[in-house]
Amino acid sequence: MKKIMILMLLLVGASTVNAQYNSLGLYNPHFTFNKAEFIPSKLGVNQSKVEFRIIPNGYVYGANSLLSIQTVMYPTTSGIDKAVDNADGHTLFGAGVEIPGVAISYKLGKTKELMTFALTNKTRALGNVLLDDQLLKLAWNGNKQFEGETIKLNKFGASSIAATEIGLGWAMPLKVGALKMRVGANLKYLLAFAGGYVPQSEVLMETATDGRYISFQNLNYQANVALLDDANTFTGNGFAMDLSTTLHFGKEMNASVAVLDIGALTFDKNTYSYTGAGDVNIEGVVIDNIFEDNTFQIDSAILEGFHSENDSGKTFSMGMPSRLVVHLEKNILNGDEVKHGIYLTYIQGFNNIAGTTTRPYFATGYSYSLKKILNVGPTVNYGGYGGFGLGMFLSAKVGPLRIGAGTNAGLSYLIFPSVTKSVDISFMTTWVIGAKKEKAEVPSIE
Amino acid sequence: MMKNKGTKIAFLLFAALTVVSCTKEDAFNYSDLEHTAEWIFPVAKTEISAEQFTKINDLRYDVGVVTLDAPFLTTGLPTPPISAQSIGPLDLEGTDSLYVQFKSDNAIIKIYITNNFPINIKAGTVVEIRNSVNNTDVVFEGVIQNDIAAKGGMDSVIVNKVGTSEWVDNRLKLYLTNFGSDGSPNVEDYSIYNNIEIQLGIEVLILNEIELHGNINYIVTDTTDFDFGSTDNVGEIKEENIRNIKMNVFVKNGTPLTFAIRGYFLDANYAVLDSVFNNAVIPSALIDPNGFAVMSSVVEQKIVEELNASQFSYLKNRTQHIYYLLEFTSQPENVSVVGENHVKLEVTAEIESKITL
Repeated sequence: MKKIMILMLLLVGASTVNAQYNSLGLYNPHFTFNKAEFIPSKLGVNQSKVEFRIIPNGYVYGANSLLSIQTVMYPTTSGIDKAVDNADGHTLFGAGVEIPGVAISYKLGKTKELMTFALTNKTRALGNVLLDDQLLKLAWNGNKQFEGETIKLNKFGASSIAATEIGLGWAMPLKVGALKMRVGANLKYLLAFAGGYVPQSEVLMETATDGRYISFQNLNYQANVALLDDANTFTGNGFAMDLSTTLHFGKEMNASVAVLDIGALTFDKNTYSYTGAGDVNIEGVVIDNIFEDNTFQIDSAILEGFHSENDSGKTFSMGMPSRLVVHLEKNILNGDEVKHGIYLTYIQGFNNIAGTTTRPYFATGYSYSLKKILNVGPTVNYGGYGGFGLGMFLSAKVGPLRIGAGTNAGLSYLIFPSVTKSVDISFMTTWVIGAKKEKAEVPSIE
Repeated sequence: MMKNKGTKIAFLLFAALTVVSCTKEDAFNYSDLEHTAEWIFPVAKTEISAEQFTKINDLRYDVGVVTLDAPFLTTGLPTPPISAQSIGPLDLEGTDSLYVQFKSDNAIIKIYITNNFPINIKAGTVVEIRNSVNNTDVVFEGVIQNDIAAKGGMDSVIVNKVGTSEWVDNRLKLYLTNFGSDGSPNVEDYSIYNNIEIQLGIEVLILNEIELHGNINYIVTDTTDFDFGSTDNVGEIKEENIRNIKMNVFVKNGTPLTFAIRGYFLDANYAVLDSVFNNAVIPSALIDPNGFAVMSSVVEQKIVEELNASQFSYLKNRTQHIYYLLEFTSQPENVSVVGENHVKLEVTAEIESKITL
């Protein structure tokens, strides 16, 4: 059991290729769709009449709050020991793949933008585990260290989502008095391939002196999973919504607030549920008559204490990784083009569903645009699953095609391998048509 | 130039980043990790009751009632109907010599009869167990409910005797009273069909009190199959991953007897492979002048046994067995055991194991 748990935890951490939120799109003026994923009101802020994406983009990340990527990739017992011993609070493991697929946006208005609509698709496979540090220490070092103690194993939870979504995006400029602003929304219909949800639970565990008994009090757990189903492509569906507003302070400064993924998924096919509750006291095999009970199994005696009710075909729901995004942007223009951009982003998850965390995430980035053909810049982020990250992005414009890549934590891995706990890599493309027609209208809300 | 240089640096950095994880061959090598975790957990607990450790729960006797003890049967003549005859006394020589006398609050008497006489045994015949030392009181009895056919007929009588019995001494005698038979019109050869086989078992379920001889030395033992963990539930526990395994045995000896513990690992053919708990001695409770254990003096003792990898493999291997024995000894003077006297055993395990990923 323990071995499986450790494997699960470490492999989730080890599968990392780079950080939790693909904020790179926010900092690269080439990619409006990616901006709109975080700030829906930024849909249509570029000069394009039509923008579309036909090559699937990609963002892969893996992060944890426990082990440095160096330790994950080149593990040593002492490295893991040190990390586990120093764990304080709770530990997060998260990994995910996001594949923004085809998308198209169209801007209404001949010379001035009235509003912009978009039809987008994105596929996500996300997973996370939240572990109390006591549970982590228990799993790694065993329960001997807690002999004679009662420990709280609170804050254990896990979730995973594999779903594709179709989004209908909308944004438009508004003027309220002297205040220029944009509002935007994205309504998403989600089709889930699979999912799993272990709501956060708490339990007290006592290991009696000499191991005379092990008790679990207030045990209350449930786990729901919907597995990939040969008979059905999708095991669940749901709706979610993104909302945001952007306030403009002159041509070069703006601030945005967004709430993302407000919604839920409901799974009703190929589902399995496991629930257990109550107090469990394990005393080993209780032998009524040692001269008659000729066979006894220790592990069965332990496991039998955990009465689990299993059910299949039961519908369950889980929330989406809802989060708040606050974003500040300072652009320095050279004529009608953004020469320099400075960005500050704060993301606060409302829950610990795969894809977000209640641990705050801060990021800042800078972009330099070389004649709008080449955009490059560094990013620094802190928080979320992985803590500190240093990255960069780079993109180029080749005709109507914009293509770029980046990372939020790759540089920190190169420079501070023993500190960086996340890795990610992002690949972005988009096609922009009709930019010249609105060249005089940059930014379009002007 | 500066711009071009900066761009080149950016490209180089990015290229380095994308290939960095592919440059080292030994990445993600978790198989060589050696980490030791320490687990402690309960294994088993039990109580050995007064009935069990005094072996009073399983008194067995085999009795052959031979022709000579039935003088009313005559060879060479037809046997007339018989009624209200007695056979016995027959010594129950199998009586365990551990005890002087006992009283039970609940006992089951099981009498199995095979009638090898050439005549049947009528229902209503009584099997009596009587004392012979201080008195000849009937202490247990059973009535045969059905006629038992001649020449191999079998029947049994099972009596549950509830309530405190008389003192039952250790020289019991068996009688068949109210013996009845339909007899036989034929001339029977009682030199061939000359006995009744009786198997008698007395199982004391609840002991009231038993007086044991002084200076006794006897063994209580059993064999068990033990399974530390199956692959189905906890995954394979490999011997090579075990750094140390320690069994802690907590013993409370609430009896007036001292005992020693030994355990043996046996292979599938019950041959001894190894031993543990080499005669660890658990002293008796304090004993009062009347021979009773002073329960307030009972203290728990801890025996620690470190097992090696081979011994752990014996525990793990389900085709093998554990033979354990408790060797009881008493003081020179007689001691008395009451129902509340028992031996309490708890076993816990501490395992240091290497984690392999």
